[in-house]
Amino acid sequence: MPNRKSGKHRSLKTFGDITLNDFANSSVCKNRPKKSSGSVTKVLKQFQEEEKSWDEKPDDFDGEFVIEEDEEGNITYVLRKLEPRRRRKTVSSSEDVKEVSGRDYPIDIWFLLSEYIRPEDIGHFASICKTSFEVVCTAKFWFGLYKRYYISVPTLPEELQPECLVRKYGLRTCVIRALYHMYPPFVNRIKSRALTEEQHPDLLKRRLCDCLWHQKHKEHWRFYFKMREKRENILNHSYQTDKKKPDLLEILDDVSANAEENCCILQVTCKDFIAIPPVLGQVLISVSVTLSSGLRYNRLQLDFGSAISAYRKSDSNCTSIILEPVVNYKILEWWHPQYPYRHNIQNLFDPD
Amino acid sequence: MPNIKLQSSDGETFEVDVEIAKCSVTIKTMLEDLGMDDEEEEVVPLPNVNSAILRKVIHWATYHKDDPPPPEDDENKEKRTDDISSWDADFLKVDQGTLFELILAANYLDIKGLLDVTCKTVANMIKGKAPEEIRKTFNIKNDFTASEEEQVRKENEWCEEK
Repeated sequence: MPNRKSGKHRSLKTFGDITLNDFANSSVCKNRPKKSSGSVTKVLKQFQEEEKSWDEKPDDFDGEFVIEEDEEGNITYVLRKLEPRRRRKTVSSSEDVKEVSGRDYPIDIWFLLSEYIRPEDIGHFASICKTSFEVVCTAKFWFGLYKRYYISVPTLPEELQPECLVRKYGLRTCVIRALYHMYPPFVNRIKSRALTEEQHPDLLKRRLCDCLWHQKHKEHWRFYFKMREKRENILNHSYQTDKKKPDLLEILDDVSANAEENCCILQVTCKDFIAIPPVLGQVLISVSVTLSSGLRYNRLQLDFGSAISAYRKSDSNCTSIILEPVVNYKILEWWHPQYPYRHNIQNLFDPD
Repeated sequence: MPNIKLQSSDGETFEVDVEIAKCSVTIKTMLEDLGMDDEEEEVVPLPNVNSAILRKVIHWATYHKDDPPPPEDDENKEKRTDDISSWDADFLKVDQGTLFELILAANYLDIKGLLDVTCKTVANMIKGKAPEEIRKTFNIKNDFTASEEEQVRKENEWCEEK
């Protein structure tokens, strides 16, 4: 008899299927944390992890798919987990050790200097140290920059005019967009890019299709694919410094808010209308641009698939979109004057 | 010309012409608010400026004592950085630490002309340089981790030329 009991015990451990009856009739508490599980903090951490909602928990599928081929030539796809966080920390801390030498200057210096920084140097200025980055996250910095470089240009949209640029929410985004209308070096960049060959849509690979639509443009059809890159935010801006969920007033003070951050739009102008299969939420796996049969236009093939298939060599489950005849195509970053966007804060009030 | 005594943070005293000292709005206001007479032998303490920097500030103020008052700052105008006089450029050929100390001192003493020229000099040295180069030039501590730095770079792709 005792043997059978222990056998039952083992089977519970193996399969993990515990019935209500098992619990009700059990004299031993089974869900108590083991003594071997270590310190109180470790147990608390474990409980906190369990209390997290599904989207906050670390993903079991975080990692990269790699192709492994055995001796017989069979190909298998194996999920190789990303390096554990602990290891990554050691890397960055060792880098920190390398860089710790040097001085820490007060924020006043960075505020004073920020007034003399040209728009094209802002990225480098923000990357000097955390204090200079902090300055670039303030409303004062962006209001000042806008005032210094404002010139009246007929192409400046209404929402980027000085009388409309009064609130803090998304201020950085508005000022950057305005600069691409009125700051000569940036305007020239856009102009010279229009003259040179377009960037190859290949650089949109592994981005997720967030939105797609089409519209008639004169005698042509324009197809828009909004492609989002997945990025992790490690460094917080302004209100995001503490972990608690910000309230609406705090959100309205968010200078760096930008719903289009990490987004690019692939704008394809075609001669005829083409029915596009739904690829929302799918990842761009491959792109090919070739000449169409008449040698006058292009043929653009976009293959979409799941995030996993982006790492496979070939996948039969992908959705192919063939656009032909293509008159031209453009990649528009969110700051490009032709990037279509919705200028309102409606998304703040949308139920999530 | 009546003189005034300025005391640096490390206790050194400098005797300066009152008109030169009044280049600093902070000192000027202090003298006016405290009602200090020009003949008085009072010492003005400047706890935020050390003797080496104060000496440089006095040197700059002495050279520029006859300059017309600087124009009101127009915040709606792009700030030029290419209009530094040759004397100022030579005067600011100092180590980068001193340059930053001069900015702080000019800000504290509220000497607009000196603040302007020192900030312009640093801005010119930053222009077109990579963050790593800037840190090296000014001996600034990099307190970013590699991933944080990468995030800042990605967030600022909008100003990079491709």
